[in-house]
Amino acid sequence: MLTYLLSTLDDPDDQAFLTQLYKDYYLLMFATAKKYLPNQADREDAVQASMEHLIHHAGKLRTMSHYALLSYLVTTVRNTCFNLITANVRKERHLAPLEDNPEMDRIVDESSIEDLLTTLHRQDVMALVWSQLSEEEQFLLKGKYVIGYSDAELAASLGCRPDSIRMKLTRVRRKAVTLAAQQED
Amino acid sequence: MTRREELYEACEDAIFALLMADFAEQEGRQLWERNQQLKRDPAFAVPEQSYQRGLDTIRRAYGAQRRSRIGRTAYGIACKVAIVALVLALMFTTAFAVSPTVQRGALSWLVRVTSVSADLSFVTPDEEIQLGSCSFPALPEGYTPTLQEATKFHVTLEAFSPENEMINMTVYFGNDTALSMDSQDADYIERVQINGHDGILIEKDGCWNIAYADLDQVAFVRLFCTGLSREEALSLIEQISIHSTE
Repeated sequence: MLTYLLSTLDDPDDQAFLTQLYKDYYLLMFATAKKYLPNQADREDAVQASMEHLIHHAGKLRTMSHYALLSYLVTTVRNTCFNLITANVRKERHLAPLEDNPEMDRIVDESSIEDLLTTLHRQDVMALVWSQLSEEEQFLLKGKYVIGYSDAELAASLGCRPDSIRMKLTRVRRKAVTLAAQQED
Repeated sequence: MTRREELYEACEDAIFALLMADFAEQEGRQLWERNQQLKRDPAFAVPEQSYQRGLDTIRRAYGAQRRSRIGRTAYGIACKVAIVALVLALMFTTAFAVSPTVQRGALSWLVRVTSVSADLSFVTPDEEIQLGSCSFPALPEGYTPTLQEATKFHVTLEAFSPENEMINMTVYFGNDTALSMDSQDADYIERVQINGHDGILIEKDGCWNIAYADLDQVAFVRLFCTGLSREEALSLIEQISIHSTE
């Protein structure tokens, strides 16, 4: 019985993996937190909260490439910092949402299909347009595609309803494609 | 949302997943370089206490996860054991309800285990039965004890078969004891020697009524039974023994 119970323990490699990850990159984590939180105690809280998130996703982290892992790490710290900042401050940081526009809310824009397919040929396209996206838009894209947040988690961080996330993502993607097309021109 | 819109959205989603994967790789390279710079930067330092807190967080989290997982696993095992026990109990209950044999067997076992009485108890029928100062032979197959009684004056073991055939074995103690046996209209009466003592055997209406006087123990030993042969009946009474009470 005891042997069976012991066999159900977490893979000890997960703990060793995260400990080493933290030892290697705690400077980067604290430096990221410092960008958003002036207070050292807040930074410490943000890094601890980030570690707790990483612990829960250790299995996924171990399958990622080294560089993608670093992006995940820093994105997690950044998102945790956003969540620690009060809602009002966060709202000020984010750009105002795109205005409701029935034309823009149409999912299929024939002209954007061509642009979308064009972006496939440029691996660095997101790097080119990234700085032109707002923090909220960056958060949406990274949260969705790098961290793998659910719509509910994204909505909780942005203070909006989960069913509005799909449309927000559509707008951000379309904006990115449009910006990429302009870069091509 | 039309089918075309669904397909477009799925396509766009997949393309962005690829683009963001590439972007994460590129960003990761820059972050790795940034981390190397931070290591070389003497102006940037993290307090030792803050650094240690991160390590403590990892240790605590995995300790809690282990305890929680062991608890859940133990609970899961307990649930499975409980389910197995429940299934066995249901099977036993069903067998008990439909099978008289199981009922008799279970009753004998349960009563023997739980009884605190020295005067009345049930035992399994396939072994010698100790009762009071007497030992009775193992009962023939299928017979179940229904009465066991040991008093100052007599010791009785009575059993029935599923066909309602009966065996009653009794030992009566005391100088003034008299034993009366029904011999009226008997089919057969015979004087017999049992364990070196004089005795009498009466057959009447298919019943064997056999008794003898044990002068050493000052007791009458009697067997009354149905459904057995003469030899079986004699064999049973021969195996009844009385232990000295002195």
